[in-house]
Amino acid sequence: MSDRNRDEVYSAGRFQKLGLWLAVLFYVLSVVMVIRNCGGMSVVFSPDTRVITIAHWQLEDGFREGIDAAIAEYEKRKAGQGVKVKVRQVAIPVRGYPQWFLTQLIGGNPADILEVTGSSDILNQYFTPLSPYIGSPNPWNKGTPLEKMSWRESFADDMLSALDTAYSEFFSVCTFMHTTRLYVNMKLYEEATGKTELPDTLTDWLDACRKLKEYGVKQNRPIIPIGVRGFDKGTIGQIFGTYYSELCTDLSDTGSRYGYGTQPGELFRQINAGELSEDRLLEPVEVVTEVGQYFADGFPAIDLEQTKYLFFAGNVAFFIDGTWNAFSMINNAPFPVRVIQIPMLDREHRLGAKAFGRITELGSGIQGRFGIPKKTRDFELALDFLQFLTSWEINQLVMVEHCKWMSSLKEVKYEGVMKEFEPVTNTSHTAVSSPFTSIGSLTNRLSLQRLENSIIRQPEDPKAFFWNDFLHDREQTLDEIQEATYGVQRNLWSMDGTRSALAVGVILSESDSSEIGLFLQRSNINLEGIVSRYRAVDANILLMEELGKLKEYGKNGN
Amino acid sequence: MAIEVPFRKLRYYWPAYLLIALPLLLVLVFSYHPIVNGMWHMFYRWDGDTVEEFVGFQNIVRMWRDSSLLHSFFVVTIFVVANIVKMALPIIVAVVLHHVISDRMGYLYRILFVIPMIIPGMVGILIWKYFYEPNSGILNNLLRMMGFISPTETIQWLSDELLVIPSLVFMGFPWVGAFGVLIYLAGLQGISEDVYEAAEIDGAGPLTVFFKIELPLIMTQVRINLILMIIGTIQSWENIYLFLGADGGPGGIATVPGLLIFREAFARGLFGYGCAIGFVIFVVTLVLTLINNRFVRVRK
Amino acid sequence: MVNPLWFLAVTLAGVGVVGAGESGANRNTPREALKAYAAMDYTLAGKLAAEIPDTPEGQLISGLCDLYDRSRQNIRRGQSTLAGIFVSESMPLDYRLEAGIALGRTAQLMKERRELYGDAGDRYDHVKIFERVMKMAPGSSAARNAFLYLIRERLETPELQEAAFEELEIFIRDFSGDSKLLPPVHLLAEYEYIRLKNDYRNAVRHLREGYETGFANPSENRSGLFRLAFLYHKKIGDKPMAVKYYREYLERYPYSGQAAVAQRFLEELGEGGK
Repeated sequence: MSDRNRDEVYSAGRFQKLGLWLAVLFYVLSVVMVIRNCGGMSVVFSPDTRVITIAHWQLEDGFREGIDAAIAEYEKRKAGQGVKVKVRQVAIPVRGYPQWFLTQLIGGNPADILEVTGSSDILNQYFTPLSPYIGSPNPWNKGTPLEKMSWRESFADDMLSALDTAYSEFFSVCTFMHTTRLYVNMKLYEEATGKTELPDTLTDWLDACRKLKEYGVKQNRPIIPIGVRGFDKGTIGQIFGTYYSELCTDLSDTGSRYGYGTQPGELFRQINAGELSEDRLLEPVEVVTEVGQYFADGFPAIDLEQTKYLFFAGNVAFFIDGTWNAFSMINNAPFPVRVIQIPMLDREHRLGAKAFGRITELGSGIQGRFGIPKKTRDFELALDFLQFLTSWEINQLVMVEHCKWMSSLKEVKYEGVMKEFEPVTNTSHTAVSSPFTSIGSLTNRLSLQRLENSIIRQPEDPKAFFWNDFLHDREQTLDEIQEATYGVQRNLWSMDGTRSALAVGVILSESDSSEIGLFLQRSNINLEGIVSRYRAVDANILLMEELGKLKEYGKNGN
Repeated sequence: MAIEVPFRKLRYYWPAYLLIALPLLLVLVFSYHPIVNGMWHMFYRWDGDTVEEFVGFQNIVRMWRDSSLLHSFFVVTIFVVANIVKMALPIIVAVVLHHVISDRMGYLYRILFVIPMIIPGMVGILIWKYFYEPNSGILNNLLRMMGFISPTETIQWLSDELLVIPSLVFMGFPWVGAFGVLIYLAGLQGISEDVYEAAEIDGAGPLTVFFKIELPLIMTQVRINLILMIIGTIQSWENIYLFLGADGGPGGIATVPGLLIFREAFARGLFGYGCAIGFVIFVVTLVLTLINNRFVRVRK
Repeated sequence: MVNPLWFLAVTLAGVGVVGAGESGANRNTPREALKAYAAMDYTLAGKLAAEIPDTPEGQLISGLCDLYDRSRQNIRRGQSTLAGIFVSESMPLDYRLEAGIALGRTAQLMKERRELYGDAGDRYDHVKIFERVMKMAPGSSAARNAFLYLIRERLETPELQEAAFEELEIFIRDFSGDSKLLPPVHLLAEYEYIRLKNDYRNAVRHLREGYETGFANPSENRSGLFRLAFLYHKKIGDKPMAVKYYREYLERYPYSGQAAVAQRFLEELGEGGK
């Protein structure tokens, strides 16, 4: 063998050894990871330890730390009860979460508590109904103001946000609440306006925005009075919704023949009959168009990250966003940040004479639904931990102390900056949804696009611009309503499947058991739901008829 | 050249057929099955999951009435034409590279062209997004520095209806895709030295060599790139989605057929309608490929 | 050296033992099929039912799965199986009732969507089926369901409308079963009196009866109570009743968004104090 060949063989041998060592290294790493994922060495050497996993997509600052704190407290308290418990937390980015979630469920070995997403069918197929447990008090609420309430009643909305109407069932419970607020760069605001007092009314807000623009020209730098994430139009929708409610909340008294609230079909009927002017529905468009002139230039193509970047760079004075980003907004900004409510329409504004002031946020924005899959390894423990997580003391520990989010429970007191996030309650007016944004997802999207166009083009008459464009897309809207009607009809078939399962449940149960009562109650919920589907079908038929009759702006009711 | 095997002798080659069976099965399952499934579902009201209602030609009729579909094909035509123009640059760069005398420098240039291929496309898009950002983006800052616009003035590259499509076309400037350059370069390197020598003897100048020898002899590569580019452009929608969101920019101005499918299927749950649009894209792509094969001549 | 095949054999044997153990534990009893169906686990229910095709439970669950399990739906076969159960007098009454309701309801829903099902829904006369169910077990939840499905259809037909309202009142008055089964019927009556006749007095009467018996859905109970107060206030002008129910609402749901509205309306009625 030549020297060269020998060298090659030697070198190959060395590489083989290296490969072997790498394989051993990765094997050891894998073993360590498996042990870690099983709950650590304590679990491996203590087989009587009960292990459960909680998985979610909340990667915002504070959430994971909060859950970790809750886990530590839970493990300590269970140890005090003589039960060895290990709870693991898995956080998955929201973009991949729906796919991961489905894979977990279909794979048959899911996490024991999952933040839920997806359709009613998925929930019904894979999640444990919680109805049997929500009527009794949460055992972890002993000694708290919620002690005497049932688990259901302990939630700020009596758990209504968690009710799956298609299956008349609770497959999950909610853990937190969010509202929309304005984050203010105080340094920029004070420099530009010379004030420290923040705007409470639309007139003051617009005045401040004007001053900020002028300040930008003086300073020779592009100052953005209002930063919005225009990319998904979410903020435009929130501003429109706020001002629509402030201007049109009174329509709830007359906007439906069946009770308090509005129905798009009934509003259009009133417009066609000359009982209501389309102007009433369109004034909020004018307000949004006016506010929108202070948005960042090119805002439709700016996403959340870019807006945050501009805010932290000190170029944005007011940033509209949900409270989910509060923690990072306040802590990461290199300047003082204050939080205020979206300024309300006031009497000094030309449209303010007709406004009703702030709208109540009670019982709204409750989210963060967690459920227990049917294939959990330890249902009893999973349910216990879920109750622990939604107990008065612990929910505040996780949400309020760590995340700076609001709790989904009743009787929670907020302090400091958190007070600004608290739902508005000192008002007697409720939110009302606009027909332009509530008919369906396509109509909503097109309406937000229309609002965006109105902001960009600043037309002479935004109301006429918006209305005529809405009618221009009438065919698509009608198509969407028709599809929705088919959806309701399909839903009636699914609900009959549920009815039939519940009827079989009744057949199966002993006549005096508690189970039969539960099955009968759910059967009634199901049938009540069918009546609401009949209402929905009729409402859609009326809407299609009246929408077809609407005329161009200014020509209705003749 | 393929060897013709009489049918009765096929049994002697069974191990070969057995070996190819699995990959073939995978191709059938993962490539052909979705296509056939999509064609099947264009006649259904389908939510991608359990709702599956036969609606006959309803989705086709809806397409006929959907003005945004026609608009989306108009937009994609603009991108195809723009991309055809953009194809010239990689050819020129490949020819220049081919004529670099120093082997070492030629190798260095090739490496320099390959390195950008390593950067994920997503990163490129994000960079371009910040490039176009109207308030503090590079492009507007450059224009401010050069005095074309005032310090507080902005040009809304991705929000102005008139600028959106030109901005998307401009993206990727100077459009010298490494993939195209390498393919053309491979074609050019396949041209025999004899041909160049004969041209030199005949007194052909660089332009004559390019138009009469090099370009005709790399037409096979040009045709392949043209087909791939047309298919890619018609099917592509991700860039626009990442740049402008699911709406396709202000007033949906930059909506292309792929984005429309995404919107109808994933935002509205009309998967059946999405399949119908997908079928139209398939037919259009097929027709354009046939036209390409028929009319773009390759001199052997 | 140990042959690796030995490991494979042991593993397979182990799986076999476990599998045998599982199948031993999950005896395909009719009860388990019913249990799986009640838990809406259609896959398991269908599988278990297929293994006991000759039992009434097997037939019932197979038929129901054919109708409602969307992943393996076979409506024609399901309806045919259920029709067999419904007409067979040897079958338990509960099974016949459930078969009848499912058969009648699906036939009715198919007729409502002729653009999708064509004439397939006409194979069974749902009116006759529902009427028979009501006769077979008056006062049962099956009879209540059959009536609700039927009366809605009759109310939709202009020439049957007046008679249908009368029928609705008689059904509620003469209902021999548990009154807790009636709130959904009251809910429908409330809605239809407003929709078709603008008759708020009768609508409110039904809503009150439904509410006082108790709606099962907590959401319906809450909105029903607010609606009751609102309709008394704005549509009938019965101030004492409106005040009574607004106050009840404030007491029961002080944290809801509409509590503030109830307070405002009370002030409007000159009853500002709680």
